[in-house]
Amino acid sequence: MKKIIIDSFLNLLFPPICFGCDKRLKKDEILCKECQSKLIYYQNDKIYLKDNVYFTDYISVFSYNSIVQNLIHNFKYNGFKKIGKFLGKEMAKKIMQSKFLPQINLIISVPLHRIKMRERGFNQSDILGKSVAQNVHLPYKKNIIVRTRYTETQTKLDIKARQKNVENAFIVKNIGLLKNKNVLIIDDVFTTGSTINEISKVILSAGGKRVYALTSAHA
Amino acid sequence: MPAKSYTKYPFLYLTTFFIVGIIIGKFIHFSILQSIIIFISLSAIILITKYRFIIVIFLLYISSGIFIFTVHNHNSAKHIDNYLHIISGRQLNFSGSVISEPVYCKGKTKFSLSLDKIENYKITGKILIFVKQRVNVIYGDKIECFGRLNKPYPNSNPYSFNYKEYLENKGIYAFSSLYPYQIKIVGHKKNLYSSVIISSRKWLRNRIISLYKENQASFLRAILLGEKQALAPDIKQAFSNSGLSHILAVSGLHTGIISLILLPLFTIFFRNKNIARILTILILTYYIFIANSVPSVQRAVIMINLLLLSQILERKTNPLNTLFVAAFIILTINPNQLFNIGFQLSFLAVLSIITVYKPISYYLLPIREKSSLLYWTITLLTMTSIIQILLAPLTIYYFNQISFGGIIANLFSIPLIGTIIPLSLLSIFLPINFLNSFYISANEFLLFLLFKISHFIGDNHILFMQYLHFNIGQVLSIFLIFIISYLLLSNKQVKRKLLVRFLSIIILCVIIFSPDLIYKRELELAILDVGTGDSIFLQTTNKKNILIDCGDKRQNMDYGEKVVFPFLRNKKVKRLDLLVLTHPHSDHIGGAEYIIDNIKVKYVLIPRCKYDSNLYKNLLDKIAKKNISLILADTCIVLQDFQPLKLKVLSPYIEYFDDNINNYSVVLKGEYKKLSFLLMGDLEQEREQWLINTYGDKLDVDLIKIGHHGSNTSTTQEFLENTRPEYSAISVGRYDKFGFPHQEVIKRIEGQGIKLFRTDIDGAIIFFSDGEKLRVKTILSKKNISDDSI
Repeated sequence: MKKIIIDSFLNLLFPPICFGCDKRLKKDEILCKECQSKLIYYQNDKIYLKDNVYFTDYISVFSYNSIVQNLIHNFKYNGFKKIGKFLGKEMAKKIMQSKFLPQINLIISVPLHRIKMRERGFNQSDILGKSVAQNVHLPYKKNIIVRTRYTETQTKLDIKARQKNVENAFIVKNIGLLKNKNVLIIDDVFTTGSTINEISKVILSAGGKRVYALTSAHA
Repeated sequence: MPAKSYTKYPFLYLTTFFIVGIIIGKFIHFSILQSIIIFISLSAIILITKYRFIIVIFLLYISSGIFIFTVHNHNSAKHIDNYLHIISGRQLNFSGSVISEPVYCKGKTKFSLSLDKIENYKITGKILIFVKQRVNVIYGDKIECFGRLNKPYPNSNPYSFNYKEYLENKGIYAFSSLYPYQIKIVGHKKNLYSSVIISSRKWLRNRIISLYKENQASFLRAILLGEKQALAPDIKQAFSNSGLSHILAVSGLHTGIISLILLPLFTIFFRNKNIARILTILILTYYIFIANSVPSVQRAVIMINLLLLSQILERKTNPLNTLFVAAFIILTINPNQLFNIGFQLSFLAVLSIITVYKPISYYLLPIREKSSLLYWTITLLTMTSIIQILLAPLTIYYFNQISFGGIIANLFSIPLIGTIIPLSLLSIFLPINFLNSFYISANEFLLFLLFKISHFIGDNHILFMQYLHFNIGQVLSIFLIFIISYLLLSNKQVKRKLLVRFLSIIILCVIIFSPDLIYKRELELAILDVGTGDSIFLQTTNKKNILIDCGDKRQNMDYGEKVVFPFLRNKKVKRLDLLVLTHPHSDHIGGAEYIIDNIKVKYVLIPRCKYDSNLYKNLLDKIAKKNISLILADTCIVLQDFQPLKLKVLSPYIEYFDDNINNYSVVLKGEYKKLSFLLMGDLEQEREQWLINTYGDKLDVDLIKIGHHGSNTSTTQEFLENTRPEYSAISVGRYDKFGFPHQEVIKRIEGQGIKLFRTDIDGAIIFFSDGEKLRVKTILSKKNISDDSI
């Protein structure tokens, strides 16, 4: 009862609005029914990196479209962590259906450089990772890998430039934890795979057995 | 919010109906009981019947507005407002506690007092105290005073500032002007407000004063602490003329900048962004009180705090809804704010940004990729022009001007202010000597630039239009047009009939403004309320303007500046075709200097007489310096310029000599078709007799401005019998020290069955005539009399 009163009051102050289409929602949710139906689940898990692929397998939840773009933008840049939780749940559902889930021993997320971390206040992949780990009951560790180089945003770069951009950007801080482990890397968006590939390289060189990747959207 | 449909802007509806309620509450006086009954019965309807009709819910919002307004403006039986008719103007002992920080200005002190007692009766209420010298009282002092308690008079002249309403909106119903010896400080009561807010404001003020030069310090005090009283009038004027007044009011711009400094600062110290947000909310709320709780600061802080709160709660914000939430909160705390100019301007400015600028800004985004400088320039230009256009009806209504320079001035000033505020805060809070001198000199340079820009644009008279006038009906209709146009144009579903919509908007405009466009051929004779003194404005049917006398100029009151000029400005009078100064006494010519300085005058008509006063000498010098043609009054003069109005000088003839200056008064007789009138100046009975002897039955008129403020040395029985007016008017002050108007005169006038109007009772008296009919309108007593045949 108390919650209903508080919620209806907050709904007056800050009416809940769909993150996809800006329409008013009845309850404090993320997407309206229409936008939910417009989400496209990613089907053919293709990898575009031709050679030097260091990760074994990769899956993604959604195909990138304007609704997913709005969701991720609001999550990353406007700090709506509840979107992260929503995406995390969807990602957990997806990985539970996958063949390689039983093999995974450890979940990690793509790290953010500390300057960006300060700016943003949180690491979006970290929130996704935590949420996935909670849902599939697997150990999650952060700070195993750190980003040592401050890299520009990749949005305007092509594949080659992206690969170059992330080269040697990561180091492993805690080698012991990776030894003989099958690791699942979590990230928000998979565009060319350069970042994930670079991290996979680092993990393998630190003694990891196999690397899998899971992202919320595939561009 | 209506129960079944969901809207993105629930508070848009809620607050709008709440505002309607406040307006109803203001114009229909409900008692508290009545408003409670309305409120409860409506709530009962909603609770008992399960059908929640939208109309009933809206009515509930309206009634809550009525309720809040009624409760807020309710005065208990012990309130001073209930006793003012007895005690006003009498010398009394009264005591109370000081509830505002005293303001020192021009050697005077002003503060508000919460009453405890008058004589030995417990009486409550807030009053304003003016002390004629500087006195050291502080917030929380208990004082005893002996002096007159006065009731502020409502405006008694057309278009003049309504001081009574202004004070009432602040909850003040009386004032008292005292000398320091009439005040005794008997104690002091400490409270949290005085010890925390006032001391921090004092600290900030002293810090600013010690760091910056005088006029820069007073500017920084205005923009950081909301203290405008120390601001030099020329800076105020320049900012207002160049459309930068919003910079002088602590508003969204300032609080926005402050929050943009605080938030990153706290995020450095606290990793958790929510802690940083909560701290920012607390400091901004504290800042409301530091900045004297002016409405613009309240609005801005409430909006920013709601934005931060939404981020903490992880909810999307909706600026339009947030704006109306802010309005709702402010009006719930004090519904009288609705009638505050600052509240209206600040609220409308933000509303126009959200509703008009935002959709347009979408089209500007592509420019950003080409050049960010160009983008920001265009953004600022569009934003300020939109605000300027949408606020124009209000700025014309309140200030009679619009400024086009503002669009350019803001382009430079907003980035300047964006740097000045952080630099000022740095210089105030970081007491590192060598760095500080760097900030201060940088800041001084920027302030210098800002002043230069405001003067450069503000002094350029092409860039702003003055002497504009809208009445309240026109203002409301224009806003209605804005709203209708917005709704018609923003509805994307039917775009085909765009032309039809444009046409309907134009037709609406024409309908609303057509009464103003139809030219009315009426003579207007306005006897203004300038206390004991004269000032009469005469406008002919072909829009020629004549002013007869300008009222007095006393130590703290220049009627020319405060009454006559605002009246002329609102009448859109740009040139006086004739200024008559009936005789050189100061109650007739005092305000003339201000008028001559501010309005073009073609001719000045004066009697030929010697009078030894500095005021008169300076005035004649000024007339000579300005090359205004001077006419000396003579009985042969008939002023032909004003056809079809014939204006004759009846007295004095040019060689006339007398020891009594009053008898030099220029007496004018006007004739327009069937209407005739006499304006007597201060003429006394000897000369009245001369007029009777000289003109005989030519003195028979319809209307007479009684001579010498109703003194019994004028207006003899014989004179009234010879002039046989139907209407008469006396220009005289309230509580006149000579006892004007004398009872004998009033008896004589009323004994003849002549209708009498008095400026002390009726306020300004305005006669309108088309030459056949006569209409009389009074401002204070609000009489409206029509006479179909003269």
